Amino acid sequence: MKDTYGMIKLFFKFFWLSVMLVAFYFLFFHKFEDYRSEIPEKYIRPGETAESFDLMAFTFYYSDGLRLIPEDRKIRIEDNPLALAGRVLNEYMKGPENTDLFMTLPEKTLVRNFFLLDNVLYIDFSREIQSNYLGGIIPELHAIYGIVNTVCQVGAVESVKFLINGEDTSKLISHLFTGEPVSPDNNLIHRF
Amino acid sequence: MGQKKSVLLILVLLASLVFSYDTIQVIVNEITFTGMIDNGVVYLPVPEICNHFNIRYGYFPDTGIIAINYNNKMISTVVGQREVIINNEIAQLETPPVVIERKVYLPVKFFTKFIDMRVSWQPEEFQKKATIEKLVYRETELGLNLFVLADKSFSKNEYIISREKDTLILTFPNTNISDSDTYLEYPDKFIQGININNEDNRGTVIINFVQNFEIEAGPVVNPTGLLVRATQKIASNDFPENIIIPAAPLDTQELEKLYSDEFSKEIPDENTVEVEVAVIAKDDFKLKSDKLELTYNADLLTGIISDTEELEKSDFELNFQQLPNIQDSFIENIDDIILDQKAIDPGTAERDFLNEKKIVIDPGHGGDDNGIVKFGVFEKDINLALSRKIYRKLIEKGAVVFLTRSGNSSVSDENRAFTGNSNKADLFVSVHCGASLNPQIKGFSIFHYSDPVLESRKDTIASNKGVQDEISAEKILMELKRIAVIEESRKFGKILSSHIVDDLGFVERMFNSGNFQILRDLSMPAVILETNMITNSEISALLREDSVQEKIADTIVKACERYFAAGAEL
Repeated sequence: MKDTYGMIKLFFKFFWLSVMLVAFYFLFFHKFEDYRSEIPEKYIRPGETAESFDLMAFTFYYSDGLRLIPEDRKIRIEDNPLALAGRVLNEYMKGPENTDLFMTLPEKTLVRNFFLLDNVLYIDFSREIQSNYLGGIIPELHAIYGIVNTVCQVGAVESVKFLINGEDTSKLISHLFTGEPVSPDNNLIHRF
Repeated sequence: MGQKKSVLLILVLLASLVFSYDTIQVIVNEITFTGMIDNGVVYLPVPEICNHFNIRYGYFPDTGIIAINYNNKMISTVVGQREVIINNEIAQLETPPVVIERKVYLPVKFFTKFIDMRVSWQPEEFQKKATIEKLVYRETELGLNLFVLADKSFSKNEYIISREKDTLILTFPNTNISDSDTYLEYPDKFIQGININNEDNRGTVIINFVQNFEIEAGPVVNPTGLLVRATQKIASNDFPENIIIPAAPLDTQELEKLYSDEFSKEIPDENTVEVEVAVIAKDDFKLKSDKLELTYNADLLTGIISDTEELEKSDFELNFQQLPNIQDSFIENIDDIILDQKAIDPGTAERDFLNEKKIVIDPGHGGDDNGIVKFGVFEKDINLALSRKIYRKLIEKGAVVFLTRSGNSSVSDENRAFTGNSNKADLFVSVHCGASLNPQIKGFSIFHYSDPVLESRKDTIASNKGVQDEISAEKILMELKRIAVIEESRKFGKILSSHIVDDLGFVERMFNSGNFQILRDLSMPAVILETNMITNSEISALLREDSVQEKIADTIVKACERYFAAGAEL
């Protein structure tokens, strides 16, 4: 038994020595060469490379049941404010990434149309915003101000006017008056 | 041997009693399953739930191992042991899994903790047995109102109505009808006979009507029970002769004269006179005026004895407000039963800060607009029940109170505001229930109107007060009043909030201003109160209790009193 143990010890001595030698070689003497594609560049189709665009940080507001909680997202920069608002709306309707947060708008609500007029963004919602609404004032405040506080970060948008199925309504959901354009309300946002 | 056998028998019986399980209907992710109750712990069947939600699971009876694969989580546990292994980490269960009738059951906490499921069950009140106390008959202009008075109000699922020509069969499952002779005191004009059955845990009332009436039925909140309304078909013009159609409304002065003349002739010397209060039906005066005062000559009438109670004052006041037309309201005030007018003692009334104050209580939603619907509770019903309690308590304190709706009717926001403005009210309280997307949140919230642009201009408006131009001066006054209303609303809201926190122990979730449709047009201090979140199952069961509603009503009345005591500046 003792002999075999001594053999194993000897084997490990040589093993560690060889490992150290190899590592030493790779650290100081070996030169890594870059991998080069063998296909000439002219044969690569231009469509295969992704078009590069700049992203900007944007804060989205979703509900935790009590307050509006900010969530940072990246949005593609657009020069046209209407196009930027469209990208923001599109991204907002996807819902929160944080699973603890809730989508502020009722289920199956769709944005039918939107347009910008005199710094007021008109958003036309489908009928589901009323019919699928579950009730209560706090969810209603969040549904309205979640989207208003988010969209009003676009420079040219100062307030939001809501429409339902293309019609002007004095009440978007149940309690709040939305006959006039709605400006953002920062009291509803949670302060960390 | 005989003794041993009997002991064994008793033991077996006891064991069977101990090991018999109660079942309960549990709602998991909005789908109902049958669960078991053992030692106060609710267990759910694993195979049914896993099959329904497509969760892969396995149960090995030899070793008692249960394995569940959910969202790439490998969860395993053993029957009778508390350890749960989730992806090689050990967690503890409070109660171990059990096997009942060859089926594996896991405690509810397992599903909420390890598999993110929303579990709830209907509170006990739904399964509570009801008792029908008596039947009360009230004749109306067009037919008969029949109240089935019970210790709870029957919602739509809790009674079955069937009819064959003249007979109407009302079936109440899970209900017992108490023995009473009042069933037989039916009016012969409308009803031929009544039969009552108590069989198989269900109560049946069979009513034989004289003719083919139109029947409507619906729950009644106060007093609790069911209202059955039998009315004459209006299309058929053959009114039976014995139905009395009341004459045109009487003038109050005429009535007073009539009564004083009659009594002065007959019994001029005696101090007490018996008057049948039923003669003075509310409907006779409803059309006459918003507020009706009946004043009797104090020398003649020192006491009015009704068939139910004795009123000691010579003067008593009946305050009726002009109610909006109720079209299809099943829940409505039953005047004859709950009309307990109490004489106001002038001694206490003088000290009362609420005396003569006009307050509007606005029960939110109603009619087609149910408000929040959760756990089988409609927000509109809770709002109405609570508002009625506040109404009664305020009336007792001597205030003049208006309800924007008295039954289950839909009233537009403009009409609600109109009730406040036309009566020149001093205070407006809109009663609502709260909701949250997160069902765990509890607490109340208060909202008031605000106009940030106007409030920011307050100083400039005040400095322009001495303007010569009449029109602009008027406008400035209007704007100043508007600002004062907003400030008073905020003040009342804060008083109300502090009272609710102190007396009821609810948490304040939000005190915010907003552009609310009802509050916009009001020219008096006004708030919207969300009493608590009925999206929480505990709160939902709590708010339905009468005693809790009484407490909340007390608190609101106290807050009103405190507000007027502090000196309302409008």
